[in-house]
Amino acid sequence: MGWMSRALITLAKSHQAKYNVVSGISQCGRFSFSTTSFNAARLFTDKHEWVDVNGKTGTVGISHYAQDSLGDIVYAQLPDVGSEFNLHDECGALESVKAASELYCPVSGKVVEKNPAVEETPGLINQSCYEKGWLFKIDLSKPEELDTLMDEAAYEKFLKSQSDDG
Amino acid sequence: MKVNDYILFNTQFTVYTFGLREKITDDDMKKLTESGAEVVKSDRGGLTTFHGPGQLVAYPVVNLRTFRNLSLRNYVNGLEMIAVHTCRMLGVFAVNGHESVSHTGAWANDKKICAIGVHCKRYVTTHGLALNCNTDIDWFTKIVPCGIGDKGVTSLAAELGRDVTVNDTIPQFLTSFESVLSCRIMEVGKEDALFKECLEYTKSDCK
Repeated sequence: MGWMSRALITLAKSHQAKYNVVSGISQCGRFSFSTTSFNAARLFTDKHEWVDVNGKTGTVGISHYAQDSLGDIVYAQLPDVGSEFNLHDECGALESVKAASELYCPVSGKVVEKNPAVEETPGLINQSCYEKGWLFKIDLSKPEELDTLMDEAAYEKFLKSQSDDG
Repeated sequence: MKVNDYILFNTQFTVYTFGLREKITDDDMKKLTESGAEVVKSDRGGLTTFHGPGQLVAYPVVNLRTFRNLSLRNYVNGLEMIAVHTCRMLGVFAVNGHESVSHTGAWANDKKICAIGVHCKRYVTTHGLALNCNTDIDWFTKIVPCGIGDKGVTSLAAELGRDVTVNDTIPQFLTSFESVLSCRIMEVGKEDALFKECLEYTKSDCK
């Protein structure tokens, strides 16, 4: 394919007023969800996935912030049962209106189950990202990786730091 | 001056592309290949579309994390506004999908004039938008553009009743982009190192 006649630079920051991006946290009114119930076991990555570990199996989903940033999700491409991933590997994709976004594996391991309800009704991820909208379950091969993830309080702090310097 | 982001333009494709979630049958493939165009499955959002001569294909490679920390949703909305604004500057009163038709993109007289489809990987976007300037609309009759069966496709030239080339449209597009996303755009040469890197990056997204 023949790229290309010209390229252009955008300057990320001009001297004009900053574009006022409303952060996900302040838009909580749109859906009823359960972020207020603090879950000590749920751990987060800086790519906005969460994992909730029970024994050697972790349940994986995306955070409230992530689902809100994506908007209405119309398609979930989940990893196949039996497939193995390393930490941060691409393991699927979520499509919101006209935009597809990669999904990253928050821990190393082997996928043991995926959520058929989410494949059938991707909007569940928007409506209930921490409960009905979970994506897949994975048997952890390196449980020590959990130490590198953030608990909910640290994640909230991380989100705040992101919106402050953005 | 810190440069993070690029917009690539291309008008040399003649290609049908499919979106991430489409299951393509051999029959579909065959039918479209017979038209003489390439057929490519891509990883972008949205459904089937056509790219070819007479179309402004803009492919912004933007790091949303460093570009105002834009959410993907706000970025797609931004592209839509840019498309609408570009058309209006040229005298076509386009509207966005949310104003009159419940589909993303820019619409003129209830027909699609600009298609949008984006991919995002670690905050960096690929793909973008395709605005019909003087595109031959016949290409679209072979597909159901963006999965919407009951709406037609149009171009700036068709709406204005005179020829409008891609080169006529690019200045208005750039002004709209700068205005909607509040940034500045500069032209660079093909030898620019970051541009080459950018081009390399885009090669990974079509299979």
